[in-house]
Amino acid sequence: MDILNHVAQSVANGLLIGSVYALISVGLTLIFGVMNIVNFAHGEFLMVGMFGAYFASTAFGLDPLWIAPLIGIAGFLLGALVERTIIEPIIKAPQSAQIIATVGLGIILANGAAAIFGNNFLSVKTPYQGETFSLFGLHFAATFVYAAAYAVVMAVLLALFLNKTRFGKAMRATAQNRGAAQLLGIDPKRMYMVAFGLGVALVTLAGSVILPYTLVYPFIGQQYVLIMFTVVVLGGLGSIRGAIIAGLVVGVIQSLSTLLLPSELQNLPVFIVFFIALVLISGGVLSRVRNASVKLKRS
Amino acid sequence: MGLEITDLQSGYGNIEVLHKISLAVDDGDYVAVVGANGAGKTTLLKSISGTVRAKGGSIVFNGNDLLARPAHKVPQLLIAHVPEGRQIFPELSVYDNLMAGAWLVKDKDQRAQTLGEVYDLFPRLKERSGQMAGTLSGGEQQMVAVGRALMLRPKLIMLDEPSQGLAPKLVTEMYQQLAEVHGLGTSVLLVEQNTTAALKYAKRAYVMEQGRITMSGSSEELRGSEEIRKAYLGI
Repeated sequence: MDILNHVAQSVANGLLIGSVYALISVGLTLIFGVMNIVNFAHGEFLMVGMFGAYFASTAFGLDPLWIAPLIGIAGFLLGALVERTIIEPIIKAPQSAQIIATVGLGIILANGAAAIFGNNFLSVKTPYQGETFSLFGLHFAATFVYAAAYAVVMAVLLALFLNKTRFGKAMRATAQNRGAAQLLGIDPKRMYMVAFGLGVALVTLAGSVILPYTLVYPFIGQQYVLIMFTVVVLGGLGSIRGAIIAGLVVGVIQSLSTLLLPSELQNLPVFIVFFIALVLISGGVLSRVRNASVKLKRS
Repeated sequence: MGLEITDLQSGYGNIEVLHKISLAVDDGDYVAVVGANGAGKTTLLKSISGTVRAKGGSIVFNGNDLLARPAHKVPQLLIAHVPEGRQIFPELSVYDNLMAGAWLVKDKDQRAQTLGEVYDLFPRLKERSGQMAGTLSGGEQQMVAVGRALMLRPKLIMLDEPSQGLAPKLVTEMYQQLAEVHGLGTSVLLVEQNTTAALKYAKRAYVMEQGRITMSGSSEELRGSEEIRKAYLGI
């Protein structure tokens, strides 16, 4: 019973943290899916969102969870601006140029933050930080529950946007065939600007949402970037649904591993999963599943 | 009025593919450009739709200079381009593919009405409306590509090898459907290697060889020409 309880608690924690992993990663896969650009600065945009939320919440005395939508909107504008000025000129450039541009942007953001704010660890205070909810004998930290709730809401909104709106469908059309979309009057540059803006909006909003349970410092992006890439590669590059499922999977694996491993090694299994994903399944686990289902429909 | 192309020079990088081409598609016309693979037919359509940048000459549609427009603004003039190889969106449903064709149509009622017309023309697409377009057969995908272009209610529809990869029966069907579209007042500019089919349905035709127009006339005249019969019709 005791072990079962531990495992159940661990899986539950993993699902909560995993949904946050999905939220921080989904923008990366959206940008890749639409634009074929790997945004190596994605972790640093998370950091920007965290700092934005930190300063907004301390300045106005507001909870980061309330500020999160505003941070997301600001993130959208920042992302759109970055796309127009930095990404658009290199959209057709060789991959090496794209890598250098986004890696360089990440370095500038992280070091810029360090230069401006100092290399300090900062955190916010919220009234619910020590609170837990109990359900079926399991306990959930309030901060994680709120963050996970945000992740679920954002996933639903993103799915509605991409599957139900004219603009979202046009964005998917552009992702699947840029040239054909252009022939229908869809402006790919506009789609790219919005896609990058949305990707950055999602991750900056996530930065605001995780602030109640974590510290922010200029180089925190590096801590999250491994998880982001594991989630995106495992889910199949460019697959939104894949990233959401992979986020949950990574969260649960990481959480379960703490039952066996000391918690400072919790990223080790994530590394191993990432390695396996890269070596064995180049299209991502879920793209395999998806392809299989397509084949089934045909036959 | 209609489409007027004068001394068009176009190509890729430093390689010129089209050498001073001139041709016209009048309002309500049905024009075919025939020629061997590599003659420059696809480059011609791409130059009109702006996906290949012309280097000289002019392309004017109903008084609008097409060369001054980025590719995504050409359809605003109600020019639709069905590209070579269909280029459908494989992971969108048939319905969503068709609706993507109406991206520029802001009037919801018009979109619904045109969709009904496209479904009348291609009943098969209505049956498959919820299916992912990538899972359709080649013939059905061609219907999606043509139907998607029609969603704009174009004044001019350009088609690049619509018969490519289709069984003979489907080729006939496709051309009959196209004749219906033309009958409703849409101008057609068709590019085809399948000379027999093209000369059967088009009113006029141009023969293209190595980036130049070498012959033109009514389809009837060209069908009767000794050269055409030998080189393209295999008679």
